[in-house]
Amino acid sequence: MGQIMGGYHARSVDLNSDDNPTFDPQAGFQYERKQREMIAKEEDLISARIPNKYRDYCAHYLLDYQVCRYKEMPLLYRCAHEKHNYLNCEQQDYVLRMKEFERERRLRVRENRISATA
Amino acid sequence: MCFNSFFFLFFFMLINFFFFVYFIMNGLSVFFEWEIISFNSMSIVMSILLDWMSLLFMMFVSLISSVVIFYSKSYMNSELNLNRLIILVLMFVFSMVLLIISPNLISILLGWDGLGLISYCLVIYYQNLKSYNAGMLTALSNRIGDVMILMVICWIMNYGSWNYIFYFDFMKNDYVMFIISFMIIIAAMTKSAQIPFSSWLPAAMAAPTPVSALVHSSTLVTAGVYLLIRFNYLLIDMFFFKVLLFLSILTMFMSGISANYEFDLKKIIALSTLSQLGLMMSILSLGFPDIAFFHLLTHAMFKALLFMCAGVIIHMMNDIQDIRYMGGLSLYIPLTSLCLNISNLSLCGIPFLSGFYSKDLILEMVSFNSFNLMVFILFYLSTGLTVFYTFRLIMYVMISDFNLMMIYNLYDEDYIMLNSMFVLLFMSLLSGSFLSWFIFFYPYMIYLPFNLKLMVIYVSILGSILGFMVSNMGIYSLNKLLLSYNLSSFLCLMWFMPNLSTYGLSYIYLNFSQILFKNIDMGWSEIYSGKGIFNILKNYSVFYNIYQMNNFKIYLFSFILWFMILFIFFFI
Repeated sequence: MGQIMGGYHARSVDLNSDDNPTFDPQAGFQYERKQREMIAKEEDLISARIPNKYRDYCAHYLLDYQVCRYKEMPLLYRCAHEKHNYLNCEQQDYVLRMKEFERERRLRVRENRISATA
Repeated sequence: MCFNSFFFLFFFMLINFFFFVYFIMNGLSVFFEWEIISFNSMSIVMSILLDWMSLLFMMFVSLISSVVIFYSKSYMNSELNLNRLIILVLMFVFSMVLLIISPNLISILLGWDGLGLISYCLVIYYQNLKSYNAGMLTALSNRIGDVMILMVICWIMNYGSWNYIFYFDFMKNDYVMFIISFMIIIAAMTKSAQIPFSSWLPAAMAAPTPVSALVHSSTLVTAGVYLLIRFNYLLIDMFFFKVLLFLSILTMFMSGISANYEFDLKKIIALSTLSQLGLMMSILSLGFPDIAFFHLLTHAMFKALLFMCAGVIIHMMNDIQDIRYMGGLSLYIPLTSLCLNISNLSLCGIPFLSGFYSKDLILEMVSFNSFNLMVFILFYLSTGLTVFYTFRLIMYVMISDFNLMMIYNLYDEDYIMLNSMFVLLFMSLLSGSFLSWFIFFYPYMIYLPFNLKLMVIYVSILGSILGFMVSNMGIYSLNKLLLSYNLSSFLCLMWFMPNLSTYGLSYIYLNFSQILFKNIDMGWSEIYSGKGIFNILKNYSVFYNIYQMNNFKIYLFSFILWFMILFIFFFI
């Protein structure tokens, strides 16, 4: 629901929440944006049997959490710190994606405005 | 027998718990396969799948059933054949375990049919006409699901084995799988009482209360949800899952409204079970089987407790179930009221009781993902309705003035029943937190705007205010409701579903056959065959008779006439 309401004003530029960015990632920035770095290693993720959909930029925190779960079972509340780190990272990642969505929307509006005046 | 069964089931629960912890720690799944017979290219095998999910569910089933058996010792104390009830409950637990550990459709059918049959025997346990009718409705509604499972068994023969889990990945886009998944969804809908099969669940409250606590709240009705959780990988992209989403949300909404019109204590709880089943089914069809399983388990705990409290109250009130006859009970039975309140508040999702962890997670996932506005509104309306009927129930039963008897002779006397309730009280308090740590290997991140996050609180406050107002409604306002009698009767009769699934189904055919009987058998065919020919012959014979009689008269008359003529001619 929040997603629909948030993405509603992007419909006018034909932008949906699942769309990928289409503009140059450096466009409009004073500094050079660096590509994000994947910290968790592929072999660690395979060995921990983490499913593909969880192998994102926060996977190293997820690995920490899984290790803690294994060590502290069944007193899992002791892993609250690791869980919080992971969820915090996921939240930051989400905010980043939403910012990228908003940037895409504004760039599309700008593009439409320029093409209309030209 | 009661205590033996209790200890056996409790011990079984402990074993399951230790294995669950061991399996979840090491990420284990154990698959046993025992070949019974093999001929041509087909083999009949008995297979068992033990993973954390089946072990956890078995643990909950055995815990609730052990506590219920302990409770029955006191609740059914005047029953002559108590052992019969205990044996039925044990058979029920066995069927449930068979269903839980089976990755094979034949053994699922055995468990599934076992559940249907034993639940029928338990519903008709008190032998009277109402129980027989309720039992027949229950058995026949569940029979539709059994037939669907049988047909699935026939269809899955195409693949050469009944172990369905082998075909999820490879046969997902096969047309046969499409048919199989449709039938599985129908089967699950009958067992979990979704629209249009909802009417049997409130009717099944004719069963003894301990049975309702075990069967019709926490285990049997969740069998359908569990089956769909197992089949989830297959069904997730199917069109039927969207239909299921629609139906389950309507079930949730419908039962929430009906519960507000109901005055039978057990039926209110049954309708709230129906509402929670709709919630489980809907989150399942939105693609979150682990959250559905989480809610299934927490709900099992607090709903079993709620039924057990209702049983104690019914016992103390001399078998009165109508909440209008109750009131002010918290002064007389504080311990039972404590249990009832905690389970009720847990049902509402009050922090930090067990229901909160699952229900709040479900609602936040619905808010967080991109679903339809209608889905969103119905989810929150149903949550508000849950709080509405719960507060109405609390007000009627525990807070308002007492209504019927001159002297209440009520007190928390029965410590067998109370002890068994305290076990579930403990679990209702803690199981939500315990399970949320255990079963989510990969925690869900939820990030919502402030007001959307607090939406649950808003609808809960609104629901509680309405519940308070409705329970204090005067006779004038109740009479006002009669102005909208048609609407009220539609809403309180579960959208006429009990009528539709009983005589509603047979009415058209019976009415049509009555018309045929009247017009064909008794009408035209009678006119043109038996009765008609008889009438024609009779009329002719009457006519000839008259003619014949008249002939005689004419003959005599002509004789006299001739005689007179002759007399005149010859003598005058």
